[in-house]
Amino acid sequence: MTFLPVKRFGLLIMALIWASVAQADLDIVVTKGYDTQTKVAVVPFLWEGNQALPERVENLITNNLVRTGRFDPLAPAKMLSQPYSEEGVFFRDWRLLNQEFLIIGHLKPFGDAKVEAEIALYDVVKNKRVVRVKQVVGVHQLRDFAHSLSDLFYERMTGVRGIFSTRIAFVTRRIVSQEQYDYRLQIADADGQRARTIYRSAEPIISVAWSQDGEKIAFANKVGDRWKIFIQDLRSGQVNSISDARGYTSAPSFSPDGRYLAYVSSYRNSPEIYLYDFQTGKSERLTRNSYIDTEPSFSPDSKSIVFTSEKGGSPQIYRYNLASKRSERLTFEGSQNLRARYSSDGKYLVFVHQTGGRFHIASMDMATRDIRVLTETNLDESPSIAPNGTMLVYATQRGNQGVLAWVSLDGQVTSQMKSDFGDVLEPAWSPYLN
Amino acid sequence: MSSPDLSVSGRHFALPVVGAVVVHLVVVVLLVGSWSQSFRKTVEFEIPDHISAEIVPMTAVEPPTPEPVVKPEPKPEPKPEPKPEPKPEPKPEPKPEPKPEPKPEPKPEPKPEPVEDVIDLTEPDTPEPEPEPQPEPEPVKQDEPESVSEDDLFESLLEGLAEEDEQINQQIADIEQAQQRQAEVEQQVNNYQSAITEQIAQRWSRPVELRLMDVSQLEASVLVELLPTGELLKATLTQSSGNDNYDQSVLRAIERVRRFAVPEDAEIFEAGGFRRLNVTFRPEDLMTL
Repeated sequence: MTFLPVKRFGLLIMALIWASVAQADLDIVVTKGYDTQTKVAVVPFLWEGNQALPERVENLITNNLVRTGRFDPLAPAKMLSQPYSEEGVFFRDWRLLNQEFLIIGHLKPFGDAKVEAEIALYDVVKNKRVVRVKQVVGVHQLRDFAHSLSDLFYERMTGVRGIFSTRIAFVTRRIVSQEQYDYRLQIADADGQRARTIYRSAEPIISVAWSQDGEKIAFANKVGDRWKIFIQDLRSGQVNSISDARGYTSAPSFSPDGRYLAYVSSYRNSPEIYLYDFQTGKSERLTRNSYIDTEPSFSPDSKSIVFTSEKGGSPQIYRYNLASKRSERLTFEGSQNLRARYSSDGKYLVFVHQTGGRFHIASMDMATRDIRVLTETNLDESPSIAPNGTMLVYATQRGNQGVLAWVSLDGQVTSQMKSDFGDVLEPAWSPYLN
Repeated sequence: MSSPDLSVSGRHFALPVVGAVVVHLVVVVLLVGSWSQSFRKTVEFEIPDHISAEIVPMTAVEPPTPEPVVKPEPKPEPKPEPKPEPKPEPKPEPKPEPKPEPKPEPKPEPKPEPVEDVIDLTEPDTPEPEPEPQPEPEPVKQDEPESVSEDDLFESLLEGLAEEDEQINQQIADIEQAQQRQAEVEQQVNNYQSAITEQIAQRWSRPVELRLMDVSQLEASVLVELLPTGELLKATLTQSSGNDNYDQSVLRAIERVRRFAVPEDAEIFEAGGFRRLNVTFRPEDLMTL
């Protein structure tokens, strides 16, 4: 009698134990990642010609990938083999070297000053070719070709559009003699190479802005005791001023639809935001108060403008809606928030955020208004974000040398370039160019 | 008159009682024996075929509840099969519950019929060609003598009870052992689970653009099907985060783990559910940036 319950109890236990063990799936929750750089092997391309080419395409691709901060290329000396065609690709070899992607290429002379190129990207993890490009390019187009290949490969590897074929505009300042400066507005490739001067002045040039189509650049230049806004057509080189005869005007921002230019003017009052209409050639005042309103920047849909205003007591970011003509404060965290720019997809705002006495680059998710601090900065370093939102370019000082510095979103400096013309100021990353 | 009568009736009683007790003991012994035996069978069960082995724990759970009735009859049927399958069929016998009833009452009721049943039972049971150590069969033989005196009967009854006691103790010991084993299994499952989580995390590189966005709602799940060797058979996105690059990053993290850290012990592999991993990715470390 007494054993009975014991036995039953035992059975019950057994049943429970097995029930707890016998589950179909094992649940695993991953709450962190290591975010290591992607390992990519760029095998030196085979060149069948006799004379050396002006550019090493594989080196340009490697440098482009490194500059993003997300790739860790394999040194050619560590490669077990250096294939230049698909027959020579053995995924196992590259897996042994822990590689995730492989890029190989083969260049042949083609007629006069041309090259027939065949270049392919492989996914070593998935054991397959991702993309292969066969193209005839001019010997002097190899740099552009390398940048567009970089764009293609970067997009296939990360899912994000590449920025290697975009441009960066910046201003250089060199002391010519006492109190005499030489200012140049320059445009370079996204890697800082092939810089060319498009505008020169003995007076300061500031607030450089690109039009959405990448064909125009607006900037402010001191003329006498005034600041005027100029717009330069990059194709014709023609320069026009939209400013009237008086006051200080600066901080231009093109509307993406090309119709308007927002800017700041402080004639006889505090700085206010104005809107210039290219169709009518007239300007309209948007803000009206006794505080500073500045740094306007259009949203990608051209329907609103974000700007910095001190009307709340400290610089904060506001958004002006062109239809309702109302403005709304966006930032509440931090003692100062300024220099807001939209990401090209309009989903985020990137701006300078001061908290705890330090300046940071921060972003705001426009869907939730959540603010995220990206990287520390100095206020005098003005960063510009790449159109794909994944990296920044700064103008800063290294020693007593002015440099352009490329920084990934997690704050690592991935590349630096010193200027041939003194200090570097005010870089502005272009939109995507076609 | 009365004495012969008594003796006659006594004899009449004695035989059925002996019969009944024997029958019940045999039933108890067989059921308990075969049950605990069958249980041990599953414990020792190794090197199963991948697919068939998966069923083990499931069958073990289901049967106990539905059939509370003595169902030893079905057993004989599968026997004829020449297949000495190491299968979990014996497990469905955790119904020793019904037998206990007869044990306390030495009812003088003649119950001859069950004898055949028992014989039917014993016969097919003994031929079981299992190479397992079976200390249980012995008691069956001891009870065999048909002509037993009442004293003998009582003694054998006591003996039977003592044996049953022993059986139960043995069974409790078995259960304890199983529980201990169970704790070990659970511990191992936890260890391997953590190891796999770390393997995946180490290979999970999130898209950098996540740094710009509010990731508090970003979550994706992947069903990961594994071979017992730990190799990836298939990875299927079962819940999308709504962000394509994020989804790709979690699939890639899975693909980059070339061999998952699964238990070598096939039983633990199956019991722990390592054949199918339901992996959820939630970037908590990016939420606090």
